Amino acid sequence: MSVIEDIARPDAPDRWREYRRMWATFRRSHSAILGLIIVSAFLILAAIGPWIVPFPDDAYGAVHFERKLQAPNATHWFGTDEVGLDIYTRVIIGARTTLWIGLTVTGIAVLIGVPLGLLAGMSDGVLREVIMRVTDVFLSIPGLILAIAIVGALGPGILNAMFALALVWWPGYVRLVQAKVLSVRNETYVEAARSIGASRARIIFLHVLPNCTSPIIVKASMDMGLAILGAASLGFLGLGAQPPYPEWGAMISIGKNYLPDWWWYSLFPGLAIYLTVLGFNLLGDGLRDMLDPKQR
Amino acid sequence: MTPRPDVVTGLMTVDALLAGRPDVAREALWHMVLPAIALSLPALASIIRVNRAEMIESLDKDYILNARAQGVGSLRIVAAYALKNAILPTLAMIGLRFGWMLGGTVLVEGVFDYPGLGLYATNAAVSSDFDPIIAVTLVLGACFMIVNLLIDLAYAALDPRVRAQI
Amino acid sequence: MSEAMLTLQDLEVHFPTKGGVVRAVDGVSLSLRQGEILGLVGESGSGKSTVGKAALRLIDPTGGQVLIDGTDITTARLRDLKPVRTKAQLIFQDPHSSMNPRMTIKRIVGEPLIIHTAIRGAELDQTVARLLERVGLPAQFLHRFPHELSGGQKQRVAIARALAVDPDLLILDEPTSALDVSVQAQILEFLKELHAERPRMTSLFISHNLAVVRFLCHRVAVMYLGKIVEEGPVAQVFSNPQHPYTKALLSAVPLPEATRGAGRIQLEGDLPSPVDRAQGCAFHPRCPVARKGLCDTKAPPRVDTGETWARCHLIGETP
Repeated sequence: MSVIEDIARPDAPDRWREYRRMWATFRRSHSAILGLIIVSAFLILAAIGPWIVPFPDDAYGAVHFERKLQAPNATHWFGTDEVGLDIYTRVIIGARTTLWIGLTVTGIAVLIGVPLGLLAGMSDGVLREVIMRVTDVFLSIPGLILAIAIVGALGPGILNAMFALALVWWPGYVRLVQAKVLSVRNETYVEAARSIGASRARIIFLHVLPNCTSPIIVKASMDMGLAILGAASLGFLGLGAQPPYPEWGAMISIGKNYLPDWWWYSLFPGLAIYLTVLGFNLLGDGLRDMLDPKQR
Repeated sequence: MTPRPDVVTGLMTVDALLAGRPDVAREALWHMVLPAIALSLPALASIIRVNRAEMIESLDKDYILNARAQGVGSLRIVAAYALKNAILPTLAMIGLRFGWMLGGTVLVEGVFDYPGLGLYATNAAVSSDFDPIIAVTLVLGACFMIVNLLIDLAYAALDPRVRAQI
Repeated sequence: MSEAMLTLQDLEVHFPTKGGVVRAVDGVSLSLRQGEILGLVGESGSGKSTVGKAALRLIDPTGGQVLIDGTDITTARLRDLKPVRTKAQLIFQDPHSSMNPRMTIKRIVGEPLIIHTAIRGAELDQTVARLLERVGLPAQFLHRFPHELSGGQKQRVAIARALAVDPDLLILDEPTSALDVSVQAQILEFLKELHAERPRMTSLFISHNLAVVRFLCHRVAVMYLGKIVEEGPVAQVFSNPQHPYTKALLSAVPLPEATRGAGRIQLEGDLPSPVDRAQGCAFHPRCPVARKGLCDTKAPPRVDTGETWARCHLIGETP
């Protein structure tokens, strides 16, 4: 009997069909694929970096004055810096630092922002007002400036820089999630869930939250790039990672003093930042087209 | 380098003009060109992008079709009908980007060694001198708020639906 | 006469807004006997949908009482409402937006069962398949998403979801007005069938479509600006309407009964805002027969005519 056969099938096939449809949308955009390739390459480099670099000792600072400031050549593909460290090595190892920063900052921001946004969206009255007004205060000051102020209070360093960035990043998620929750919770299907007696928790976690995930995923993917850029900015200003720590922003911060004659010093870390941020942005755009067809 | 004119407003270009030294003013302006370009290019890109998307959307609406059917000229359709609706999200993006640019000044001033608020804040932060940081944060925060207020007012001026809510 | 399945006693729903208090529902009393289908008709904005939602406490009433199968649910806490949710179900106007777009049909129809029963796993799958079969959908639909179904199919799924908990009371909020006419007919036929085979099933059918109400309902209540102006058996109300508003509504629809009388009654103006309600009879500003000094000063009394009653000063006089 076909009825029994059909329901014996687990849920999996329809999920896969849905994923295949999404992938087809994603694949149609060349820039999304380019973003995916860049981000994948970045992730692979971060994973296997220490085992493929030619001068692993150069990563966390060593001194080789005998080969300082060499232009790119067969041994040192990206040249060397003012104390003779191999820039190729340091850029590759820097991918780990960068990935770590991006994940931590975005992760903390999501972990703080999404629950607060849900809470503000689902509650009425005082609680919502408090959450949203605090969020507004954070959003009323440009992010990088606020991060600089926080680092100024805590003292320069990579951990403090990450902390400062996470602290200025979460309000964006509160806004996004709260606005989305407000629109979703007025949807008829939420009313329908109430009419069949669904509990509050069931409504929030099964009906509201799953319908808010697409914009969160898209924003998180874009924010990976922006957080990386923010950390590099702080490093560049001398407020983030301190040289000789292998962080791209900090490398440019020193390298800019050697422009324009020793251009390779800041060019390659700069290119690395550029490509990574570009990759995450393109990926985020692609994800948006894939997950939120309405926003196209 | 030419000597600094008397400080009246503290703005180099204005002071130079007040002192009757257009050559100094020109030089001061010249020093702003590259930092200004560096700051505005990324904002330019995203504003164009938003405006393009919105224009495409509003040109696709039925009231545009209706205007065409009634023989309204193409230029008028684009400039008066479509742009008026597309400009609202663009304005929101301009406000957002203004905040980013305020943050970006810190970096750009660092790169060009331009003695502005951003560089001041950075140097203070590096030496953990907290008071200047607070001051800069407040001033830039106030700037951002004023721009956002102006954008909200522009919203109300352009969109009767927003006006009705006030 | 069997007991009442749904009783509304002076139900009031007032929304405070910037422009003043909107009296969406203003003292509505209705009683539905077991097995009865009552049509609630009115223009959009008359408050008929709000009555449906307030009857299930999806909107909290600001006054009056709601009794479902004898239980007063007006002030029940959310937790205590759970048993009521198995007794009464709502079907929405737009079936598409009433389904979570991320759930498969199986989960949508199965959700009430998960909430209210201990049925899980293969048994749940079979129960859901049986429900779909009951509403005339093949079991392949189990694994589809709402957006892959047509409007009529979605409304059938919505009915299957409502039937999952075996309810005695259905509140149908314009269940066919978002559908194509041909599909409407199928759904209406199905609802009629459903009632024929479940004698306990009671329905409050909210609609602006008089023809549909005449086809499906036993009794009809006409709402105007938050108040019921006329109520009675369908046959009587349709053949011999008492209230001028009902007469106007009926004259606008091509119905066999409506041939009597002097043709079409055209109402002037739109439905006024429920905020600045007129003094006296709410309908008098648009009423073709309103009498100065009476209709614009005094609220009209309830006048019974056989099984029908209406709220109008001028009943019994020659119109």
